[in-house]
Amino acid sequence: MTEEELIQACRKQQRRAQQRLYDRYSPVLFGVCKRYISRNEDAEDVLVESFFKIFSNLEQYKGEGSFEGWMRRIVANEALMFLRRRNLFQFDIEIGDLEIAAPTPVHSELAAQDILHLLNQLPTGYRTVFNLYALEGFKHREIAAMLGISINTSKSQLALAKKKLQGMLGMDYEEEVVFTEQNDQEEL
Amino acid sequence: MNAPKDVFDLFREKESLLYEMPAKRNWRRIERRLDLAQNRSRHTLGTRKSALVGSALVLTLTFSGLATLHLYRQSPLRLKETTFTVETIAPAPVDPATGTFLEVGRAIQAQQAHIPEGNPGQELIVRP
Repeated sequence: MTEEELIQACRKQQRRAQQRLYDRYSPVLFGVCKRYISRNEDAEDVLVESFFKIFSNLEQYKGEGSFEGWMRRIVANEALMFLRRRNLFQFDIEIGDLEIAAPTPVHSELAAQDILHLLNQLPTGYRTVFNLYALEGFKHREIAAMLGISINTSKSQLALAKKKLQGMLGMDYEEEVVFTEQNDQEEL
Repeated sequence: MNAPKDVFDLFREKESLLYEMPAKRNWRRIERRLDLAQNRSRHTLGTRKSALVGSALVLTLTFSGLATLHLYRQSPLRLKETTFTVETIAPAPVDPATGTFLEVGRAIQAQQAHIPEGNPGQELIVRP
């Protein structure tokens, strides 16, 4: 069954098709949940809620863009709502208009547990912005709107997350921070 | 040794390592929620259907009432358009048998005894 056929069948509320869709995508989406939420039971709750929303709102998916991307966004939103409800966001550190100048090379072989361990070491604010920017591909402008923070706060959180991750990876690394204002449009 | 990578790229590449099939109970939880939502939706649909039938009935009755009223208001106009004429009706010939029967009836009535009107203190006594 192709993805399109599966979506059509799910729109008709066919339970077998819904289960097939779940079997196909739940590992990926559960991975997304775990990146945002450290506690496994909480990640499962977010996954259940996300799939319920996916099945209930399938009519809204118009076939523009990837289906997996659409579902990932729902999961990310659901995870953010969960964190917000639990008051887990802390964005009290703001450096100012900063930008990390260049990609910093790292040498590392990581296993799944290492990645989760590293992400879980980050404060919720850092981790959330890092996930949204580096892994979901959102812009700082979008992240700021989603989290109700300023663009600079989003940038600060990302820079600090990156710095902390690189520190944990044991790299000889000097964070190169460049204060910019004129490049904001490109960065956004 | 692998080539150096940016920390973002590293996490992007390794993201798939986090893919993991969630516990079976989670599908059952989703199923339960979907069932609940479907039942709720059916109930809402049933209520909406009833409301729709009720509204249709009210509309039909209202429409019928209005139509009747309209026709009733139009009827005097129709009367105005109607022409009335007065014609003299010739007396119908009387059947001799019927005539005889009527005369016999009148004779019996005439033969009936007159009951006089009494005064206070008097008593009416019927003697066959």
